[in-house]
Amino acid sequence: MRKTNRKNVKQITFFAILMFVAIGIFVFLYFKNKPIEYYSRTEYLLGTYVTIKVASKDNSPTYLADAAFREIKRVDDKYSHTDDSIVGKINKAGKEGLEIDEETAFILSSAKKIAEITDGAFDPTIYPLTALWGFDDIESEKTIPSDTEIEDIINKVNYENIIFDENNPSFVRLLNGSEIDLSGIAKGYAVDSALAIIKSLDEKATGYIDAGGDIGIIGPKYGERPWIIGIRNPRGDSELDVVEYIYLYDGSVATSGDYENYFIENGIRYHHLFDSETGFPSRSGVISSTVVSSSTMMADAFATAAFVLGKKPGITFLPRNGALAFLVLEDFSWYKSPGFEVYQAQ
Amino acid sequence: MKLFGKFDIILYLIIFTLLFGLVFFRNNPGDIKVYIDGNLYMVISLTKDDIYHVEDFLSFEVNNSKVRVIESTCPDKLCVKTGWINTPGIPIVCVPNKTMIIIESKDSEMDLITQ
Repeated sequence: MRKTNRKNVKQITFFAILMFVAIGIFVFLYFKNKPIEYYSRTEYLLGTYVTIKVASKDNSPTYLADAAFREIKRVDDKYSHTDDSIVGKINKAGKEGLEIDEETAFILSSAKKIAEITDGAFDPTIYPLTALWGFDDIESEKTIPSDTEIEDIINKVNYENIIFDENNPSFVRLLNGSEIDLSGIAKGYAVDSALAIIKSLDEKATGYIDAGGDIGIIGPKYGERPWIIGIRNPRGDSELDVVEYIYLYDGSVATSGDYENYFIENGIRYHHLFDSETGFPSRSGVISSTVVSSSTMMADAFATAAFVLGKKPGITFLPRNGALAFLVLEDFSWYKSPGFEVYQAQ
Repeated sequence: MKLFGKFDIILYLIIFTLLFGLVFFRNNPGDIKVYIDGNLYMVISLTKDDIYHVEDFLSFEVNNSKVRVIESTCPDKLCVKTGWINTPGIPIVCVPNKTMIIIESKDSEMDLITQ
């Protein structure tokens, strides 16, 4: 009897140790294999919902997201269209000219460069036209202006009126009553700048920043897989309805469509993307234009330009500037820049 | 009395299988996750049809693998207007309440939308 007991105790101890070791191994495996948890937060900035999804092995993702949101908020405040903002001051100074800071000079010269590349299809001086039609604010009444009103305004819309001083690249003048608006291009710039902040804090961080469909990739999903991005169906009932998927490991994508901001009068859709030559919403046959590029600012501006230019005479300027387009046309056919397929494979 | 008998082996096998399951099948794809201010607040299986409450400011309904917000204290009710969602990765967002409801995405599905 005593012998059996002692044997039992031995066996119980043996199996207890075995169980502890086994549980220990599993607990270790559990935590070792634990995938990186993504932290995600959405805030209303830049006139849209901005979502940052980020993960990092070495840093707190909350810290990275905080830093990125701070940067986006800074850019948003700086370039919003108010009278006392830097943009308001440049407009007020007009042909007298104004000394501007380096960042503003960079954004404005980039905007002018894109306008030159796209031959004015993207134009940072289009704001007065947008405002005339009532697309400057959701609250504004949207109407079709008279021909004379359009005629008056359209003469002021010309990116060539933005003049940088030859000897001082941070001194800018606006000729012929032109007015600039940087809120459009600042959205892409804010994403790029926030991406740079995250990257400078943590090179290996992964995730994305999504500012209302202007998307910049921080790094591949879990460090190895692409982010799968749906291109919204421009005539879909819900924003979840998509026409195509693209797969991005890095870089940026932006989309411009006639469904974002429009009104319908007498069965005609009047949207917010204007042709600076006619003064009317562009009728290029494009209803949605998506551009992939290395910079969100470029992707956004080129998407607008590609929407206005349409398929012909060809948005051939895009590949030369490191951007590829996917257009959805009125008849629901598609046009893709040659090489766009690289983004359609996983 | 033998400790390592026939039935003990079966018992150990069951325990080990469960542990293995825990390690390798943790990511059940059909989960709804609710985040408040970026922090995970609750996880619910997509198959459990019911009405759930997030603190006292928001209620949502799960039905037939779909989710919708039915009540919220926010002024614009954009989250309620979003309606049903069933696509993984595309959330219902209530910015005033800092709340996000999202169906956990499987690897092969869409993460976000450009528009």
